[in-house]
Amino acid sequence: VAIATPRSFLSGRRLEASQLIVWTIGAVLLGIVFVGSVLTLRAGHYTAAQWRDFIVFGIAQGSIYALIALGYTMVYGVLRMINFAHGEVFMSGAMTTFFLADYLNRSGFLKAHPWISLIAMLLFSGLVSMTIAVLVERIAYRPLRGAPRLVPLITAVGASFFLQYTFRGLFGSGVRAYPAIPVLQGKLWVFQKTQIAVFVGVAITLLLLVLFLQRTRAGLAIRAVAEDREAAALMGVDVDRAIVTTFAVGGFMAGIAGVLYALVFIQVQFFMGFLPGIKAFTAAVLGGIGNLPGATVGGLVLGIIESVGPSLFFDGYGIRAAHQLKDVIAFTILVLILIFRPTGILGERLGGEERV
Amino acid sequence: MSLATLRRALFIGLLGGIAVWHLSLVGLIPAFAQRRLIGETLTFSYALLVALFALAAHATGRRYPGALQRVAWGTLSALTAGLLVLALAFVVTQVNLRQIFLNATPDLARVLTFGAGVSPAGILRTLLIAAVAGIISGVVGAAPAPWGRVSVSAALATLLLGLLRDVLGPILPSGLVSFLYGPAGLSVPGAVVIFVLFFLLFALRWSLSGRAGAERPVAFVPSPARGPLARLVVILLLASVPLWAGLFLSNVADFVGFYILMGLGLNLVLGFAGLLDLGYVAFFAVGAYTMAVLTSPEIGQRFTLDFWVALRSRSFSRSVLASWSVYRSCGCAVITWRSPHSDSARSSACSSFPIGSSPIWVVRRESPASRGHKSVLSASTAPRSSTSSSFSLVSSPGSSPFACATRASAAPGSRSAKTSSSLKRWGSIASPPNSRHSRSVPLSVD
Repeated sequence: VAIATPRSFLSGRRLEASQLIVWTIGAVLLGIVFVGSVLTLRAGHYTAAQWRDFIVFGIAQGSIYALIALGYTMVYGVLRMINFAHGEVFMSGAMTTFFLADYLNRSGFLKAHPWISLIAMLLFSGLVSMTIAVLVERIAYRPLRGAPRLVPLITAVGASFFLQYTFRGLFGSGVRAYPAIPVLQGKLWVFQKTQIAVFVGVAITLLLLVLFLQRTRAGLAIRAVAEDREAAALMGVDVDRAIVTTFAVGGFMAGIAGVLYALVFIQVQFFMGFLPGIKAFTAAVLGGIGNLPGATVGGLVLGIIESVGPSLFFDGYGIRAAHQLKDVIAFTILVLILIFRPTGILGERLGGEERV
Repeated sequence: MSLATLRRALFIGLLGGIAVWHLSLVGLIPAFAQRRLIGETLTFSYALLVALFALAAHATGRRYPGALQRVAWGTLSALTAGLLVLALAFVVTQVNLRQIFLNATPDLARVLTFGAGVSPAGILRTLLIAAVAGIISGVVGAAPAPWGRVSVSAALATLLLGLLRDVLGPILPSGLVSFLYGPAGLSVPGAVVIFVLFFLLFALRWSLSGRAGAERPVAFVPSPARGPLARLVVILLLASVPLWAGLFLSNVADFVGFYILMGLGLNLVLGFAGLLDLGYVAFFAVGAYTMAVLTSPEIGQRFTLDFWVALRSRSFSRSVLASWSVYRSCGCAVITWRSPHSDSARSSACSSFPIGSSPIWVVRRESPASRGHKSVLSASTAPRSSTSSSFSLVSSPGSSPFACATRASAAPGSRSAKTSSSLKRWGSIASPPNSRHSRSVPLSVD
C-alpha cells in the first residue's frame, strides 16, 4: 500500500482550512514562548547559576526519561506497538527496591558499603522490572500477536492499570521515602552527587545496551526482527525469543531508571510510573520512535525543556509557580511534534514499512 | 498416567494457587471476608476461594473425556492450589510480613483456612474443601450437555442475588425480602428456592432454544422489544427508575446513562469515522467544567445560574458548544495528521493531554484498495443473519462499509467467524493480519 505524504491529502478546501488553523496555533504558541523568554530574560529574576542548575537538573531527569524511552522505542521497533504498561514496569522496580533499600539501611549495610548496596539495588530493581515486563509480554501481549493493533494497545492500558492497583493493594497507597545514601549527599562542583550517580548509571547502561545490541547474537536477533519480522523468521531467528529479550532488556533499563529516579526524587508510590511513562513516551516520539539514539536525545531534550521551560517561557508573564506548568510544556511538545514532524527529531529509523 | 499429564495438573494448580496469592495479598480476599452471601458461613471470600479451586480443577479436567479422569486430575489441581493457599497462610502466621505486604495479616490466614486457622483442623478443612470443589467441578463438567452449564449458571445467579442484597432490598416487597434474605446475605431456604428457580429457568431456556443454549448468540435486545410500543414501554420504565429504585440504583442508572451517552459518541467517532479517540473523555470534562463554572457562585459571579435553570437555558447549550468547539479544533489538528506513522503515538498524545485529546487513528480513506473493494466486510464477513443486527444503528446492510463494520463487530463469534481465524477471534473489529485489501476497511486501525 502506497504511503502518501501528508501534503498529498490536502486537496479539499476544508483540509486547507484546518491546516491553516493548525499552523496558526503553532505560530501563536511559538510567539508566546518567544515573547515569554524575552520578557523573562529582560526581567532577570534568575542568575546564571540558577539557569545552570536548571539545565543540570534537566539533564539528570532527561537521562532517566531516556532510559525509559529506550524501552518504549525498542518494543515499538520489534512489535510496532506502544507498551503503555512500561511506566508501571518502571514503577514496579522502584517500589520493590524500596524494601531492599529500607532493609539495607536499617541493617547498617548501606552505611558500611554504599556502593555495593547501590549496585545491589540497581540490579534488584532491574531484575524485578524485567520479570514484570516479561510476564506482561507473556500474559497480556503474546496471546494477542496477530490481533489488530488496537487490541494490544487497549490491553496495554489494562495491564498498566492492573499493575498499578496490584502494587497499591500489595504495598499500600502511601508515599514511601527512600533512605538517603551517605556518599551521594552534597555537591560536587555544580552537580548534586545524586545527579552524577544518575549520569554515570545512565551512561553505563546505555553503553551496555549498545554493546548488547551490536555485539551479541540476541542483539542481532532483535535488530533483525525490528527490521523485518517475517524475513527474520525465515532466516531462522526465533521471533518470540527476540521479542521476550526486548521486553526483558527494556524492563531491566526501566528498573534501573526507577532506582535512579528514586535517588533524585526520594519518594516512591504506586502511581509514580504514570507520568514518567508518558513523558518517556513523549521523549521517544520526540526523538523518532523506533530510533534508539533518538530516544536518548529525545529524553535529554525533553528533560532540559521541562526543567528550563516553565521559568523561561512563563516567568516573564508574571505567572507564579510556573514550574507546575512543566507537564503542559511536555505534552504540548508531544502534540506539536506529532503535528509538524511526526517522525521526530532524528526520524523514525526502524519504521520504514507499515505493518499490521 | 503420563508424566506430562501430572505436570500439567500440577502446573494448573500452581497457577490457581498463585491467583489466590495475588487476590489475598492485594487485599481482595480479606476485604470480602465479612461479606456474607448465603447464611452465616458462606462469605464472598470463601466463594472466591472455592471458585478458584473449582476453576483450577475445571481447567485441568476439561480436556479429558472420561468422568473419572476428569475428576481425578481436576481434584489433583485443586489440591495443589489448596496446598499453596495453606503455604501462604502458614507463611503469614509465621513471618511478620506486614512491613511489606499490607494484607499479610493473621486475619488473612484465618480466612484462607476457612476460619480454622493454621492448625491440623484448618489444614484438613482447606484440603477437604479444595478436594470437594475439585470433585464437584469434575462431576459438573462431566455432566451431560445442558445440566452442567445450567447448574453453574444457577449457582452463580444465586450468589449474585446474595451479593445484591442491599440493592434489591428496597425494591422487592418486604415479605419476599424477609423470606429470601437473612441479616447479611441470602437465608439458606431463600438460597435453595432461588437456586431451584434459576435452575428451572435456565433449563427451560435451554429446552426452548432447541439446542445447547450457549452456542446461540443471544440478541442483546430481545426481539419483542423492537416494536414502537415496546420501545415506549422500555423508555417509560427506564425514565421511572428514580421513582421506584431508590437512591443507590438511581445513581447507578445515572452512570449507566453517562456511559451510554459517551459510548454512543465514541461509537460515532470510532465506529463510523474509524478514529480511536482515547482522549474523548476530555470533551466530557470540557462540558462538565463549563457547566460548573456557569453554575458555581465562586467562579462566575455574574453568570451564576441555578443548576436546573442552567440546564434549561443557554448555559447548557454553552457547555455543549464549548465541548463541540474544542472537539472541532482538535479535529482540525487531527485531520492534518496524515502521516502514516505512529498512530499509537497519537493515541497516547491524546490520552495524556486533554488539549491534544482528539481523534487519533486516521484512516486512509482514499487508499487505492478501498475504491475497488468498498464493502470488503460485507462481502466476506458481515453476517446477514438476524441475530447480528441487534445493536446496529444502521439499518441498510451492505450499503456502506461503515454499516457493515458496525454490524460485524456487533456480533463477534457468529457465523461470520468462519471466514478467517483471526476474524473469529477478534470479532472482526478490524482487519485480519496479512490481508491486503482489508487495510482499506474503514475500521482498520493501521
